[in-house]
Amino acid sequence: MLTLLFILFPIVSGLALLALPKQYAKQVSLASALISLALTVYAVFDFTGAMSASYSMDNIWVEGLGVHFHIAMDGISLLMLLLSNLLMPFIVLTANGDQYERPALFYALMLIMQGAMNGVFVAMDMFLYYIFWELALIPAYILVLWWGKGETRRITFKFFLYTLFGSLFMLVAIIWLSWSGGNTSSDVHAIYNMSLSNSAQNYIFFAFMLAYAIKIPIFPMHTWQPDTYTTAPAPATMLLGGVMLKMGLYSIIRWVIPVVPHAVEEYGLMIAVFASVGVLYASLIAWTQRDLKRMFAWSSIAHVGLITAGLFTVSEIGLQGGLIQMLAHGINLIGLFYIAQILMRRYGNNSTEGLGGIRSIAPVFAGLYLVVLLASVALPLTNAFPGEWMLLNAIFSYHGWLTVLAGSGVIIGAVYMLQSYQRIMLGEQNGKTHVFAPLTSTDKWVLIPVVLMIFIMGMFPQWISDITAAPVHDIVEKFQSQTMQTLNP
Amino acid sequence: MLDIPALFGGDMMMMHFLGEVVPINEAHVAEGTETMLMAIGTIAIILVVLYAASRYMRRQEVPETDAEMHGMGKVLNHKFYIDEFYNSVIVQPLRTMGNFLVNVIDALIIDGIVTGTGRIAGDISARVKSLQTGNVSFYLFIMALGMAAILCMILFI
Repeated sequence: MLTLLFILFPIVSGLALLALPKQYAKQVSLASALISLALTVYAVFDFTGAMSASYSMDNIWVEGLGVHFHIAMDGISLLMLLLSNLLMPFIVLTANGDQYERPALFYALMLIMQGAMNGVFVAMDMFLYYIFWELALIPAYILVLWWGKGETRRITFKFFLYTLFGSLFMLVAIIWLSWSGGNTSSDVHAIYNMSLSNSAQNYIFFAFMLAYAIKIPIFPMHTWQPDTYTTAPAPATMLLGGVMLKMGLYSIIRWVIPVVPHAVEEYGLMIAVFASVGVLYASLIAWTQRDLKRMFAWSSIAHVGLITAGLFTVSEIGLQGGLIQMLAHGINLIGLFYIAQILMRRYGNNSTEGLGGIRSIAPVFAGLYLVVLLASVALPLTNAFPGEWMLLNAIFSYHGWLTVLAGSGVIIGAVYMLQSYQRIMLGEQNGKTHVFAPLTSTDKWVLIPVVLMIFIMGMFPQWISDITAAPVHDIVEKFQSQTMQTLNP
Repeated sequence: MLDIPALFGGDMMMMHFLGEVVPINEAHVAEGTETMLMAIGTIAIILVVLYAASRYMRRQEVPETDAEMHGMGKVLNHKFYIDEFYNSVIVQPLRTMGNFLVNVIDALIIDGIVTGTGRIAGDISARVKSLQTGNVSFYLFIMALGMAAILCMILFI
């Protein structure tokens, strides 16, 4: 029942918002997000490690097609729910400082998107999973199109073209998996127990990976991302980058590695190479950017490239590192994009040109910004360090030379992040930066908890890997036994 | 590195902060070696401090300006020109490459393919929609052509 609440509660709250007077939109959406977070915290403390029956719900939905309404939580799903529901209150808060037209619809779409993304993380039937996957996209399109700034029509069209293209291939693969080769169900157990030929695995692998490579995104499927992140309103950017892209990474762990292990064994290196090239590619481009939001967007491509490469090592340290990093990336992305939003509200744009010296009049903001920035470059004892370290460790054991590409993001990341900080915060004040409106209480309510989470997660990452240890171990062990069988039939 | 060194009584509390996920590779160095390395570093720092104090405080020498420097002094003043070397050999080429990637590979090639696909679909639909004139006799004519084509396929293929 609790698992169902994670999906239904945000969606019902979102729909209820549409019926309420618009002046309550902010408060109701924040209350809804906080209740979802409280439920998640309860689930984390109550969690025993295994896929508990109390968190599972399995009813036949479409009998003739073998479609089940099957939702359940293991440690991996729980971590993803924690990511989504932990970030959501902060995302709602970040919208507080701006006035949006049709606020009820704006907040309602964000909550519906949250419910759909939670659905993706707990769906244990591929058909149901696909429905939530697509349902999460619709609010995202509308948020970017209606509340974005700049060339929203062109950019939303590109976003739509990319994601629709990928989703269609995934749908074909799901239909094939669910109703072929003697299989008559799209339930996770039926899919996991299928015996697929090597060639069938390869086709399914590429159909899935096309959708996920676009969603994450991995080079060269990434060109929708910088434009969309820059154009979208800040809360939508945070939802897209903080949570939605993790749907692709999560799906690799849930639906690719266990379903098509032979194809992962054969083509995993190829994806890891593309992802690692993407780390260097995106880092070099991020270095050239003068728009802060765009720089953070490129930086995000580099970070998720590293996570993807780590996942395809199919090792416990790689998967655990990837999962820890997904949470850390979400927290840091909220911090970074909110900092860009704070500067945007005060100076009218996100250009780093013409700024400087803000530290001398806003030392608290400068300190908070510095911590978030150092976390994003994986300084030890900040939240990104354990994950990045584990990922690089896994990639080094997988193919040592890949570490050169994948590790480049850490080095170049430090360069462009610190340079941007220098340009914005240090040096002499100028005519533009001689004033800086003090941080509002909302600003503090977002940035201070983000900084606290950065340190807590950086110093005590063990509790996160404890949540995901059992399912990760099972996935890796099953993968190794399946690929060994292929090698020694 | 993330803890107080054992020499000063560190208790290795960070050793297990990633639990059993990350294996610990302990490096064992003899205590004498550790002490010797620390002593060398400390003595080197003390010598430099004493030299600087003797030259600039006791003898009251004023450092020459950058422009007056020459020879080894100039090389040292420019930190062996390491920054200039990095800038011309690493930084500038990488930044040039970054600009090339974003302006050519990304904007022209990858984006060109994606938006080109959308544009081709749009162009085809723009041409095909011109067939929809609303003229019923034209539709009947096209339908008759289609039926004739299907008939030919059934009969001759």
